[in-house]
Amino acid sequence: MSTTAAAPAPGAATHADHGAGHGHHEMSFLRKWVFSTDHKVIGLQYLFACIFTLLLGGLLALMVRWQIAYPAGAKPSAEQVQEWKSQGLSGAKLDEAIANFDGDKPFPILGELLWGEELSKADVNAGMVGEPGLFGNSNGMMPAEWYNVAFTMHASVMIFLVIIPMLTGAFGNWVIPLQIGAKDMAFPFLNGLSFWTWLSAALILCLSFFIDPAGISAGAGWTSYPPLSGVVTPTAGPGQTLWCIGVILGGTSSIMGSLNYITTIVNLRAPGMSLFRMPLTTWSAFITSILQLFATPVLSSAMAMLLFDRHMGTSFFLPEGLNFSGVDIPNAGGGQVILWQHIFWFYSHPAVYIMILPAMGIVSDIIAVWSRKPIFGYRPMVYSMSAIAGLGFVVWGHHMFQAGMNPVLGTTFMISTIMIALPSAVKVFNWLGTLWGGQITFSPPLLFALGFVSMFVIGGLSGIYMANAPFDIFIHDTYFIVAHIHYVLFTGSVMGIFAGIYHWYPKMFGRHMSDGLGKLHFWLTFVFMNGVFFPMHIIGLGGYPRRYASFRGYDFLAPYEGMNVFMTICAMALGLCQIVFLFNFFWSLLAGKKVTSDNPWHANSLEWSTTTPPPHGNWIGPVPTAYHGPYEYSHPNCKEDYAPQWMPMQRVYADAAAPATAAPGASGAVGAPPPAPAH
Amino acid sequence: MQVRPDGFDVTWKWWLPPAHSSFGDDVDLLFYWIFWITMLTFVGVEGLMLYFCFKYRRNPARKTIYTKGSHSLEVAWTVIPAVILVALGVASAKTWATTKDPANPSFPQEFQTTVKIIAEQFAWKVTYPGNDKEFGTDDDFTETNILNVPFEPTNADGEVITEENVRVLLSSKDVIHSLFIPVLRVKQDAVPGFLGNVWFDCQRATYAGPDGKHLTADSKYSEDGRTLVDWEESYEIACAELCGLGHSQMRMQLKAVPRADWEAWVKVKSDAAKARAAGG
Repeated sequence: MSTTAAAPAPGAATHADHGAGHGHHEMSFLRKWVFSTDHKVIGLQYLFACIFTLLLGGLLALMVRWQIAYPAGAKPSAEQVQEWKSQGLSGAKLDEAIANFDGDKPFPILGELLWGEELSKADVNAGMVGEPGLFGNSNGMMPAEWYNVAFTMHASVMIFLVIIPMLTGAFGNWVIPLQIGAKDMAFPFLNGLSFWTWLSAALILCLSFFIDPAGISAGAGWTSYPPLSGVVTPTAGPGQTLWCIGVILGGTSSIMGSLNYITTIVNLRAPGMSLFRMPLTTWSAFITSILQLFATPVLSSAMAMLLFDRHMGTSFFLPEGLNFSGVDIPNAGGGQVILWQHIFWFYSHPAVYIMILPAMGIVSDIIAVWSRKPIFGYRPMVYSMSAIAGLGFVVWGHHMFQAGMNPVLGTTFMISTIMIALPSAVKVFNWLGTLWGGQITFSPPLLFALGFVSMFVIGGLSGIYMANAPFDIFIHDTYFIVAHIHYVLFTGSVMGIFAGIYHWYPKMFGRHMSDGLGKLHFWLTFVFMNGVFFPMHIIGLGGYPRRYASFRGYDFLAPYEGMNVFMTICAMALGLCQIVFLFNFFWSLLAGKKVTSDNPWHANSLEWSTTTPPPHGNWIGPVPTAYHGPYEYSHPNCKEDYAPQWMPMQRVYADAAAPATAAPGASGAVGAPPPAPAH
Repeated sequence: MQVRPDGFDVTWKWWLPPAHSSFGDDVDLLFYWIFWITMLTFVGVEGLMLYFCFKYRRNPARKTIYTKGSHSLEVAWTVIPAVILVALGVASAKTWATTKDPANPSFPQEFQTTVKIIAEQFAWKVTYPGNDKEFGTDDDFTETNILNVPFEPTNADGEVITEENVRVLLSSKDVIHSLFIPVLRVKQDAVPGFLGNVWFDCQRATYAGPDGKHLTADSKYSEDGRTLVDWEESYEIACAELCGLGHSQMRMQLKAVPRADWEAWVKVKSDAAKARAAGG
């Protein structure tokens, strides 16, 4: 590939002409902003839609947390009973006081809206019935079956509607063509189609809440293990079916997107943009797309098989003799329950890397820019991402250590899983190397990037515990796993997303976000997210199982009530402090400080070479040429501490005649045709 | 929070529960190794990061170090963790085989007790083979959510005096469940259409009631709910795989008792089952 990169690819040239031609005709509002084929508009469509779905997924998370801390059936504490006794209550009076004890706490506001008016225990005992809510009447408290819906949909929304589309859809779309110097994606129409397919997936998943009178959407966990999900039952009814359809559509959108990114990166790189001159954000998007392209069709086929089992009488996953509460399942027979897990995790383990690799790329770029240093070990960074992607395909069995898989396979998957910690460790060391000896400015993007690195360390290290098959016996399906995945995906990927938003916002919208609010947002988020997720390790070590609607049945879970309440309070605070971000984001769109330079961060990669916000076709005139790598910061021969990719090194050397061209705000020079390569 | 009559707190908090199976300590030992390795790494990496953030904060007077990497460092921080991680994997293989792999010599060859557990929404049906120790005969009996087994006596040095290995033939009739016995470090999915093979031994007998009997009543708490009175202790067994709306209610009690007590209990139950079968 790199041999062809010095010369413009034929595709790039033709597309460049095509893009330039586009600039001339006026487009209708609908064509320009709604049914757009411009990668930047599509990227922003993903961004705005994902901010909405993030709120939905976050709300579901808060409801999950609330249920764990305050499940129905609260009893008076021993101290309370003692107090009643000291007040002279005894016998029937004491029993009545205990029976009328009001310990249940419905979820604020929504509890009563969804599950009816909360009456006092005395009224309920007297036979009174309150006003029903949208999903029926359970005295404002979430029923166990809806709790299952809440965590299933929380995970599904966060994975399929927030993190994957935010990282690949929003950042992938917006950043890739600008960073490689392409006028647009290789298949602009497919790109738009991908977004609309994804949006229909999102709508179908959201719709699934309203198809059942009790709001029973999918409730078999985001992993949807059959037979729980494979047989139509009241708790796995139409909502589960819609969920499968939604996931298939989401997958289809991913396949279209990844095909597009791969083709774009292979064919449409600007002159001089060899593969090893690409910024790591683009590299990560490239590697992620390959993962997506290979893994997602497997998920789609699994979903199709599940749908067939549910509705068309097949039994891919249903073994003989299946009997639900005395009812035989007629079509069951010949299927393999564990087959689903193999197929599902063959997608879903790579999906974990789909959700973290792009964030790693973004964070790498941001650390380099904000510490004014070349990336330490650029090629090892690329190789380690490739290794993560490659190994990512041979570790899926670690989700199945306790599933009854052949134990010899367990050993194999343990070794491969342990090995995947290596490239992740290499990346962390290289980020540290990049910070070493730099000029670190603690801007919001860098704070979030450092947040990513420091928290990813925790998520990565906790992975070693569960990679170890014998110890996984104990922590499998406990809160330790929940802690791990949230350290990787929330305190990891979501930090990466925030970092990316703060970093590219000025280029996206031509205005700055507030620095102060950004820092406030970071510190509040950082504190409260650890308050939510760190104690999960501790209760997990105590054996606290995940997906429990109530801890009240178990003696060994009772001591963790206080810790669960603490986590829930932190979660509510974490949710509330995102208001700071939302305000900053939307307020800055209208009233943020206008950018005065096309390259406000003095960054090197090509997206900073064009006007702000970038026009349709990305560059007025031809695309820039990449003369060197994207991480030439603080080069000893340069006057400035950066050397943009679109300037030959000779022109930015301290003794060169035209230092002004590299100075901030020199946007006049930027749109001009790049000078010919010097050699 | 719950305290035995002899003052022993039977619940645990902040840390791993006590381990009562013969392989429990091996499993925990792996945990401690990983714990210290990851803690050292964590402190090292985060400490270095904080130090760099402080030392290399923006200061135009200081010259920035221009470097694109170091081959020897890359090799070092790839190879050293690789060696540690592979060693950890190799060290874990034996415990894994002992607990899970019937084809491995370290897996017990002989089981003094075998029971069959068929999970369903939302209960555990435990079938005991009865006096004749054979399944499928008239004297089999089935209990719901009660798993009683003989405990394995050990001497002061922790060496086994009499082996008491329990084998569980595990399956499910509807969805996937998972048999999770925290204090024995046991977890195995109960998969419909598939007969799982789980084993454990329990080296600590559950506490007998004041009458010295093990298998009469359920445990009872005092009025304040904190102290167990007139009771026999039991270990809790939970379902660890989402199985529907009653997932968090699938609680089973395990009692590990001296063999003589266990056999007496089995005889009563088994005789009754046989009588019922003959009568019906």
